[in-house]
Amino acid sequence: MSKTDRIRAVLVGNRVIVFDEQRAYKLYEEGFYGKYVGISKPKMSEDEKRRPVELSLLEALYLLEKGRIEVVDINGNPVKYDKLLDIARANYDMFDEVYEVYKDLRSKGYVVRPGLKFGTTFAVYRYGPGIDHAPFLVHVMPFEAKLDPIEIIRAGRLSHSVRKRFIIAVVHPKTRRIHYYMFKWFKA
Amino acid sequence: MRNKIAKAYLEEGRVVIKDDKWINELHYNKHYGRLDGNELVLHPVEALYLMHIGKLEVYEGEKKLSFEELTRRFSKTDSKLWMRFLVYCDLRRRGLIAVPLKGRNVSFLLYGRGANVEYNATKYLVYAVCEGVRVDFKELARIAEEARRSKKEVVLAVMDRQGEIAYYSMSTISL
Repeated sequence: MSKTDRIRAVLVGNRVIVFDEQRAYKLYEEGFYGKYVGISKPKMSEDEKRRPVELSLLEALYLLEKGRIEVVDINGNPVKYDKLLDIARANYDMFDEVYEVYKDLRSKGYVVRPGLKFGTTFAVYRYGPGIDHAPFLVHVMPFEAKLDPIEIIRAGRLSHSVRKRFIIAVVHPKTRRIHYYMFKWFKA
Repeated sequence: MRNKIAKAYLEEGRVVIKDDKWINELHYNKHYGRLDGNELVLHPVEALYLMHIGKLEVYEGEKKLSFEELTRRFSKTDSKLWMRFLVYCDLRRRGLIAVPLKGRNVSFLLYGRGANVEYNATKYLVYAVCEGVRVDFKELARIAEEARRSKKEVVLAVMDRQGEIAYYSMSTISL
């Protein structure tokens, strides 16, 4: 891919926006990257898709790393990967772990979206929001953290009530391998 | 049975049953204890559970020991005895057959519902955790690995501060 094919994203404060509506559309359509500014539902009319798209810092870094986008600051100067990573680390707790899990899931072909409304780090789709209705929920936790047994119950309860698989992801500090744990109510 | 209550003896810290009829009933029919020569040795929590449901009396020589006395004695060498007992009790009460495991953790092997103990292996590894006591991921990874090696599923018995227990299965998955 030549450099001119890269979609231009602008770093505004610590948020990343693709203003070019056509290219924003393309990015969203190809992998559900970003969120249309001002729209908050998974099913949108074609008209509603003619808007700028905001990328999360995870998405921006991932797409930058893949050479799919370029990031510039408000003066038009390029923002390098390391600089963007610094910003992400400063603005998102446990960013490295969260990013590793994000990359792992994306590299396996999943569509990885924020899971905030379910109470988790990620909502993960096989095809995409609005297409498959049963995403699974992935919550990233630090390996050094200790799991409060109450969280096991919460995890089990949550997955039961929203009928989605709830998975806790931890990144092993030495091997950097990602462990995925699933908790389900057990009918004893 | 003629005598409704089995008799066991506390000998060198072990609860043993010597009567063949009761060994037959408790071990072969109800799957308690392990055989040692001609005797059936009950695990402390098995003995306490059987006492608790009124199926067992434990004697030390001529003296009949109370449930409290026995609980106190066993707790001297096992600080988690009561927690072990509660989980065991809960599993048995649900009609499940659990085998207490040794070690500082409160854990059991558990047969699947309706399993034939003679022919089937245990299906689950039950690991108890208690409200207010966090578990680290290293420990969870260890349990998961242990279960994987022995081809068992992990069940976490989550106990609240009053001894109420809820069960959750834990599986490691590759996405």
